[in-house]
Amino acid sequence: MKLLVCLKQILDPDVPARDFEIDPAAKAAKRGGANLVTNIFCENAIETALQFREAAPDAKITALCYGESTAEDCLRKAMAMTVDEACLVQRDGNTNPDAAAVGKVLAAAIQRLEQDGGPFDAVLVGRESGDWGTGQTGGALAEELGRPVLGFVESLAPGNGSVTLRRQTDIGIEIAEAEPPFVVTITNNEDNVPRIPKTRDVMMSYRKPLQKLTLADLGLDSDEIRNGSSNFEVEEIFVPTDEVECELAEGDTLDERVDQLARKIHEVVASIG
Amino acid sequence: MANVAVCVLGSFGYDRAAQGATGAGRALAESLGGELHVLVIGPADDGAVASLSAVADRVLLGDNEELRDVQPEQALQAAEQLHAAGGGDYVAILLSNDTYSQEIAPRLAHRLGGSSMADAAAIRMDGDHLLAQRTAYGGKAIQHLLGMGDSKVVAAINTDADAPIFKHCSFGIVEDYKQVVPLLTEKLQAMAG
Repeated sequence: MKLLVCLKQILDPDVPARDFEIDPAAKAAKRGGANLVTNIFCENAIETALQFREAAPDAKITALCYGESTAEDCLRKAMAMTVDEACLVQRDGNTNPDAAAVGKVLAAAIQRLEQDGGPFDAVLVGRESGDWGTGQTGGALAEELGRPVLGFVESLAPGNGSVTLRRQTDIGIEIAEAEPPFVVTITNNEDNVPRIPKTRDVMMSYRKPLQKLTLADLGLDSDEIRNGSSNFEVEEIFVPTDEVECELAEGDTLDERVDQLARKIHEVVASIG
Repeated sequence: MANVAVCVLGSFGYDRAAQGATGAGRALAESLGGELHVLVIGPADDGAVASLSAVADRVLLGDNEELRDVQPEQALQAAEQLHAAGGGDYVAILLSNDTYSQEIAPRLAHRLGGSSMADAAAIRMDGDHLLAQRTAYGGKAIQHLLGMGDSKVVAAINTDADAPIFKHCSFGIVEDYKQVVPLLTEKLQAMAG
């Protein structure tokens, strides 16, 4: 079995709200002092693939990223988590959240890798990203590849010629048997928390192959791909400000202050009925 | 015609998700002066169909029994067929935010040559364009504050007078909650009689 995991590098979503700023010209978040990290659902996807390989030791795992040169860090980390090999498709600074264009690039890169190394049985994609969070890439990619896709998958287990998928839906857990090739979007659960790479594996990751491709290599060097499709653009982005005047409770003693707060709450509750 | 379509999953009936999507679709269709079509994937009960018919100008039923358990490939095909049956030239197609619909949305958009976007909190026409409002960079603090937007009144207890929560509440008290809560509970209970 050959597995391919798609990764996205994003601004660290754990950056505190008070340090979070928008660049109005770029219509995106300012980098500021924030780290760039691998999107968490993508790391869950790596972990899910690694656990599949533990059950099926012949499996090979490739990580693929469409990102700026900084995204090499994500791929090195994936290989330090013991992914076998990696490929970076280089993009320029545009961050327009266009899943249609990203799906085309990832599909072309996958087809290129398959020409050289044979077909991937499963393509794993994070369910959504921690920056734009549109959750559309997995579906767009599957359509580009012409392969079926199941969403919100939390584990893959080898079966007899097929793969058993466990996935989360609104009405419960579904178990599906899938025949390769297919695409899955990966969500998190307590069992696919990304492992911390061992020091030795971090060293080893620099000896593993990292192939670099450009949009031109894939025959996709067009404005439409670079800037995102014309179907759709970010009109405006802002940090919500819903600040209101807060009435602080006053009084000389704790009892007086709490009494005043209680009266105000009581008045509101009474007025709502 | 500037029509709007809403895709709903029949087996889920006229649930909150379907109500939200058809409500938003109705408003959008009115602003365009067009019709609202509801594309129902899978069998729906009579009550749900009646409710949808009350809101929509046309309800197209894809009530094949095989669609009762939502299989993404079949549901997607059904959505494409219903889309064609309804005339096909929709300004926008709205889906609700359940997991099955989330799977269908990007693929349906791809097949129809359009784009898709998730988690729209509000939509309206802006000239020829559909404008969707949604959150991005789902930072914890921002999401928390947005979540509170639904509460009518927020009262905050915090020992730090500069705590950000005091910018987003109606009433506040600068104290240790461990001291305030028992006392406040007692007083509110007395007031409620």
